[in-house]
Amino acid sequence: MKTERLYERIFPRWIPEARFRPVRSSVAERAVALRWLGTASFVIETASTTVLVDPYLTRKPLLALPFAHEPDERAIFQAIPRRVDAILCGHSHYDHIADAPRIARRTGALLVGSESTCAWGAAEGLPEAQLVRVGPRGRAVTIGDIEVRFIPSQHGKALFHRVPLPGFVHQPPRLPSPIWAYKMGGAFGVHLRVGELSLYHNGSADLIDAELRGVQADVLLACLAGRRGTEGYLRRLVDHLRPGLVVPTHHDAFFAPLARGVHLLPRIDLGGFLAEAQVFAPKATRVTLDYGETLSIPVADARASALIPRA
Amino acid sequence: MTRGGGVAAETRAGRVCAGGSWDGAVVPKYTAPAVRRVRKSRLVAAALLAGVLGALAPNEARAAFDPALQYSTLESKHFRITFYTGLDEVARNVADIAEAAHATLSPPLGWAPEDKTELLISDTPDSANGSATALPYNAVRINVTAPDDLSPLGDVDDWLLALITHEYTHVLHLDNMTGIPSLVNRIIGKTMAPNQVQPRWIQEGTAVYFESTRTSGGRLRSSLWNMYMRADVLEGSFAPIDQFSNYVRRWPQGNIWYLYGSYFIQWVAETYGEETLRRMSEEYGRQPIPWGLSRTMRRVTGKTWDELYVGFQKEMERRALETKRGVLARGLRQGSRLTFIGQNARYPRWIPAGTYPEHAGRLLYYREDADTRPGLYAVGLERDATGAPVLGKTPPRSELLVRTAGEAAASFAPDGALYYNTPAVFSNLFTYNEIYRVGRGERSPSALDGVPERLTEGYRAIDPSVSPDGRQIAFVTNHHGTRYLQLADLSASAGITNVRSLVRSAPYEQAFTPRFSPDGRSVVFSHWAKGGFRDLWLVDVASGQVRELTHDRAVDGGCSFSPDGKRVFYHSDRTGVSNVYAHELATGRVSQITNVLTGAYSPEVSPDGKTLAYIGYTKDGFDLFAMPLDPARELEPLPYVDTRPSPPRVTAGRDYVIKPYSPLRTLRPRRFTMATSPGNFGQLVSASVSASDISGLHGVSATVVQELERPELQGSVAYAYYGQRFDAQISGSRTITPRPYQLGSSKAEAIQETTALQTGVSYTRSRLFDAQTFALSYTLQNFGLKLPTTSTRLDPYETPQRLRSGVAGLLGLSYTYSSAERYLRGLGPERGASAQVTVNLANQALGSEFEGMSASANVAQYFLMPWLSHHSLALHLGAGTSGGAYPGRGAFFVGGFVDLPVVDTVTDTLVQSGIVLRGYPAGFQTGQHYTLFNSEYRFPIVNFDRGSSTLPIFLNRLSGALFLDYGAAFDAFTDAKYKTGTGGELWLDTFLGYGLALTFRFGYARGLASEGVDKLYVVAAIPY
Repeated sequence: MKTERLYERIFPRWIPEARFRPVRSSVAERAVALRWLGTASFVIETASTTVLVDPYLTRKPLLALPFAHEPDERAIFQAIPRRVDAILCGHSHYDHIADAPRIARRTGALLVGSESTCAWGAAEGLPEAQLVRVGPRGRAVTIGDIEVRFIPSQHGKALFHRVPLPGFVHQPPRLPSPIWAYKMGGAFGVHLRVGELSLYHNGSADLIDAELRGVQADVLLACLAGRRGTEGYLRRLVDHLRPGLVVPTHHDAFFAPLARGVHLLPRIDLGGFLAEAQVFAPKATRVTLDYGETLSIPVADARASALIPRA
Repeated sequence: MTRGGGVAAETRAGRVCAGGSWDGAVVPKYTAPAVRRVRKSRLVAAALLAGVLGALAPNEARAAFDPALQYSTLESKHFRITFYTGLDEVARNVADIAEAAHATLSPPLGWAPEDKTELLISDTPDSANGSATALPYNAVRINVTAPDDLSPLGDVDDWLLALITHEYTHVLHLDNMTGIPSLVNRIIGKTMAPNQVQPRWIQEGTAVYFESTRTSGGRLRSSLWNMYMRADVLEGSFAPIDQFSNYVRRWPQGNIWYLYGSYFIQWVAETYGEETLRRMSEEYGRQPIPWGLSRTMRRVTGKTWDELYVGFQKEMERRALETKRGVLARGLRQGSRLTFIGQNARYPRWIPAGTYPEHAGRLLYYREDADTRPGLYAVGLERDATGAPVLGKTPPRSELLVRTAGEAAASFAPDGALYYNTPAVFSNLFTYNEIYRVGRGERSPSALDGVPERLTEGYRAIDPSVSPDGRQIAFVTNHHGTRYLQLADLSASAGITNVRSLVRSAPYEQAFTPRFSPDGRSVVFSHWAKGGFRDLWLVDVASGQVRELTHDRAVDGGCSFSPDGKRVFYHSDRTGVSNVYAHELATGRVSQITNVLTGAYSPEVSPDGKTLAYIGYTKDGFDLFAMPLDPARELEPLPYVDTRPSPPRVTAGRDYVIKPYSPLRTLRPRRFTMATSPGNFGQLVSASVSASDISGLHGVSATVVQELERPELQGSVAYAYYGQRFDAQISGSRTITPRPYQLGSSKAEAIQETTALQTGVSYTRSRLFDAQTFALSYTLQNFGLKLPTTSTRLDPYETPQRLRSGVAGLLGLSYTYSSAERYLRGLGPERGASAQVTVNLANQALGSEFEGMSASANVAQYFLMPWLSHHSLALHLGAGTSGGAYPGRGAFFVGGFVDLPVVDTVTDTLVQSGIVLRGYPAGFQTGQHYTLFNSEYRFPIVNFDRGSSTLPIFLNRLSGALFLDYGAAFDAFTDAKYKTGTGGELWLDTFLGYGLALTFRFGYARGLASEGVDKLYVVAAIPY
């Protein structure tokens, strides 16, 4: 009980506010479904294809962090669909990659990510055919009806104004490994295009302006953790991408099961982020999601998104 | 020619000009007088260097850019549009508009440029402005910010169309060149643009004329513009042609060119036909020698400008009197003038009790008076029982409560705190409006005291209005050309949170001056939409539902609620004269409250409902007025009649291809500048090329110098990059200089050949009212020596020395700080301080064969005298020390001004530094160390502001200075011979060639110590 109260104190509980919820409830015929699973984890489903981005469902408790990581398959498979075509990992910190190899092994999905990401996949025993390596210059890959582009980016200075756990994993490590073995391994933004609709998943709070030149995205999934370390972070992102829909991500504490509800990371200032989104991207709709909620985004207009309640 | 055409950048009028960019933020910079040689030409170089650095420094400091913003380019048929991240949609729209402008303007102006016009879009300042030039290539630069609330630019059907029409008119006008100028340009590059060397009013008048006749808005349709002219006519202040042909500090300052120019050009076009304008451009554009204005005009119309001026003035009088008769026929309804300051006054607010107790019941307003700090001032006001102001014999006293850096609107919160907007430095690079707060009763007259609390970062927010319960705040944010109405939560601890939009805005729409209703349930604001619809919108805070209170093409703005919330007061120019009206919300009934001869703006009803405060206008500018509110004297409004044509059509939707920006295209040097000047061996001839790309991120220059009496290759090349948060530059040079040389007891002359490579970076830390710059440079120099040649060049007064050759590596560090304040009508800096420290080191570790150092520091402090306006005391202390054996460096001189022929001063812009020891010969003492103290008491004497017709010679004003200088240069402190010099100077401000402002000093100095001289002198110099 005491630890729970301490948890609440460190990570304040957060409930989505009505004003940052989609107004519409009717679901468009041609739409992409987007489900948030905490951290920067998303399930993205089109008519024919399902991909996961940065799935992390194990959500190791704080006290268990010093111990080696073991995927919590129960938590994972309660949350994700049975069929997954590909898992896209923007970088290979444990809260972005640690569950991905296991999901790939169980579902047969492709694991797409950096050399380090694929090293973790190989450690899990994934065959080479299941690994799609993204070089430092990025890569384009088509998954079903989704065109995916990995766009070189940078990791935010999220911990003590430093990029946490920099470095690469070149050889398949031994499993299980402690979380500090999950080196960053190079950061990418993931750009997805489904017909006329494009999404940009920015899994860490930084960017490389030159890489985003000419890139447009209707939907911006923007990481909050560490954004204060990046000068003009949101302003620069939205100036490049000109999104119609901004969805904050990675603002939640990820040390307790999803069922516990959304708790915010300390000093995350979600309100400040949303205010900035209003000023710097005044034409965009802002939507905040609860765990497991699905957003139905019409292909024709991202601003007309509708929320599908949890089943 | 090019120098004469110093008016290269045509500034669109508006706040920038009106606010006095002429005397803008020139941060004083000092250059230690660090040259050993007493040779005159070198002193000239040192003195001029000081002038040049002083002039360039602020620009350099501001050149840094946000590396996150990346430039791209798109091309249309006649334009190449360059813009940066986030402005893609704006750029497409601009391309459509620019093409429409080309189709509209090219036939009447009779010109189509050979090449595509470069068009740069910027969104880094929060001000509506643009510029255009034909040299060295046709270029238009625009800011994507719509005109302000009360800007004379604001009456537009489409503000981007008006802006581009204006700037592109400049291009078609200035680029119009045929005959000899065209031939010259084909040989040496585009150097001559005769139409660029004319009084600004002809250029701006033409552009405003076309901006107004080729759109359905524009300044010639603006009631504000009309008011500026009407007030000058009715109040006997109609400007003579010599004043607006040159530069005057009188209201409306820079706008005077646009104002008189536009009406004069309009009158010419209406009297002699519009094709006259085209013929004027053609005639003048083929003249190889500029300035023959009247000759040109006589060829076109048969009359000179002076003869035409008479007819123009009569027409202006006729129009003003006609308006006056119309106003008087309905009976005047006007307030008493409370302030007699003029210039800019904005946004009056009644000061509630519990905020500033001693000012409770008085008025707070924004004032910018060209004499002292702009900001929010409290003004005393006595009222009688009816609410009428009781005026004393002297104007009421006022107090500066909060200094701001530009136009500010204020709002009081129930807890007594004051919320306001002011331009502020964002991200250390850009000047954006932000919302600030000062607590109850707090003052910040310097704004350097840390009292104001900044509440927004990069919001570009203006016009805050705090809800009556203090929990919400409405304001406007500017983003990529659209001003959005925002609502946010407000608390003393958390500041502004939960920002959301109150109404949905279409691209390029504008919101202005939101105000909460007394019950806090609704917000009224002024909304601009395409077509010229500037209307009042009432929005329900809870539901966001909008009700249009007006819907017409008049300018309806400055809205505020009556204390009971039943009526909305606002200004409207529905009759062509802006007056205050009241709209009863329950019935929709409109009453006219004022009926004035000039204009009434921004009405504000006192909390007791008895008095109306508003901003009125006279020939001096805007002032605060107040009048009792008497329902019996309200007028039935006249119906609105729309006389405007439909806005021109812009074809949209072309599919432009956006490509990465390449600076090389515009960076290519396009012209040569040839000059002759005194050199080290006699006359020298130089040829220069310089260029910067359209984005302004890169600058290159190269100069080749030939001494006529010693033809050897000399010259320099330089490159500067401004695309980072710091500025970087690299340069190389080769020079030859004669040096005296001692061989035993005989003196001879040697030639020193210096080849140098220099690199440097500088970084400026900007704040609202002060700035610091840090600079680091490294110079590698090779000194070669050619021994001895002849002694014919030997200067008998030169100190012979042992010369050296070898490689020197020099590390330079410098720091500057300035909080110095200048005002439009002031004489140099009048308040604040500035400081500069420079250290140069040569050491083996730096790759140098020589070891040595020099260090110098300058500090200046300015005191404004309390007794008379613009009387100030300026104190300066400079000191330097040096050691080691660095060749040609590390030593200092002191002495008086260098004697230069006045003709050279003008033709070569030879402006000297004001830091001198007057009363002694130039550079009469040299040494390893120096100290110099200057004190100057400066005072204005008389404003002439007169010239002759359209001639490019104009006398601005005469001021004076009494000085005392004290200093010495020496090798050992014990040998120092400190000298005192004293005297007085008359400073004559002139304006020459339509673009060059020079201050000549007529001085008498007397050296009180030995070696002192009694001397009368004439120099051009800038005050320290």
